Amino acid sequence: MQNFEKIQYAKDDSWLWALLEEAKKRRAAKGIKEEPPFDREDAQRIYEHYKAKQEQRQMLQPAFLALFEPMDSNGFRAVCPTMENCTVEAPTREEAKAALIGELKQRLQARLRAGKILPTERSSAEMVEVALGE
Amino acid sequence: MPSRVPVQVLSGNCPIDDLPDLLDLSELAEGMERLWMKSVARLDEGIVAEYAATLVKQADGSLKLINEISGDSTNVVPDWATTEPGTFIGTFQTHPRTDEFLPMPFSDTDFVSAIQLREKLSLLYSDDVVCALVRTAATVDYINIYEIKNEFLSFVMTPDMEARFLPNAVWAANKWLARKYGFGLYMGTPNELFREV
Repeated sequence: MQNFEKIQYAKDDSWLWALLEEAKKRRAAKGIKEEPPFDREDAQRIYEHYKAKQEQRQMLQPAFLALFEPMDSNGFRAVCPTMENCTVEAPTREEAKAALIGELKQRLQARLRAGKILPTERSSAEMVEVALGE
Repeated sequence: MPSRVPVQVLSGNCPIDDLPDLLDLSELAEGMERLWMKSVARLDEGIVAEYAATLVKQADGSLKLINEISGDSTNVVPDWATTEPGTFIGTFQTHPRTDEFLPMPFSDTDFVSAIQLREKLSLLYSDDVVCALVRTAATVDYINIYEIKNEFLSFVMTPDMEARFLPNAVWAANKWLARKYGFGLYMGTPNELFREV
């Protein structure tokens, strides 16, 4: 038990140091020899850049997620586990994708007509296209 | 003499907005510097070792580093298990390098162990820079190691990796993760640390 706990709580920085070595190797390969000093302002720039990227990513969250998996019969199964819990099967991945989009569009339009969901600035068809676009 | 670190900070559940802008760790400075010197004592031979100690609160309220322990160049396991119940505050560790001096902030596993150990104060000394993670009322109780590795990778393994100085990217990742997981993050000298997050 003691050993297990010690392993779990180890301050093991080997992974981080390995990343440092990788960065140095790449710098050397590009002929960069001078190491700049530690610079908190540069760190802040990196932080702000990442934060902006994360915020942008959150805004672009897809309306639907789809999983495409090959079947034993050589076809493809497309599953949309979110919201509609929709599954279709088709001989190819592209056909499975098209079938899934078609099915989701129909279901959304039916729910829209039944007043079960409210229209947004994007049409249901656009929402599906955005979500499954690659 | 009672610690100069406010009791609320050492409680581990200080509201994050109430954290002080400055941490006075002068009572620990000598001990931290001594362990750093031990870490780089054989630098001339190309050998360094991470050192760690357990941070405890004594009966008079002051802080002390006990259970000093050495590891290897990339890993150390604090001997926290022998701490008297009720006195455990956190840990201290060093991040030395053999080939150059550079301050390397907290690593992925440093965040994980700080959370798993319920450290109220986690201290790190690297190249004359001291960093501190302060547990607050907002700090999470559990963390997924793979999630935190992914966050680190997002900062470090970028297409322009070679154009970046890694410690800058790691410090940016530290700020991001401290905010995400509800820690206060400080950086400064062994005596005085200033709040960054």
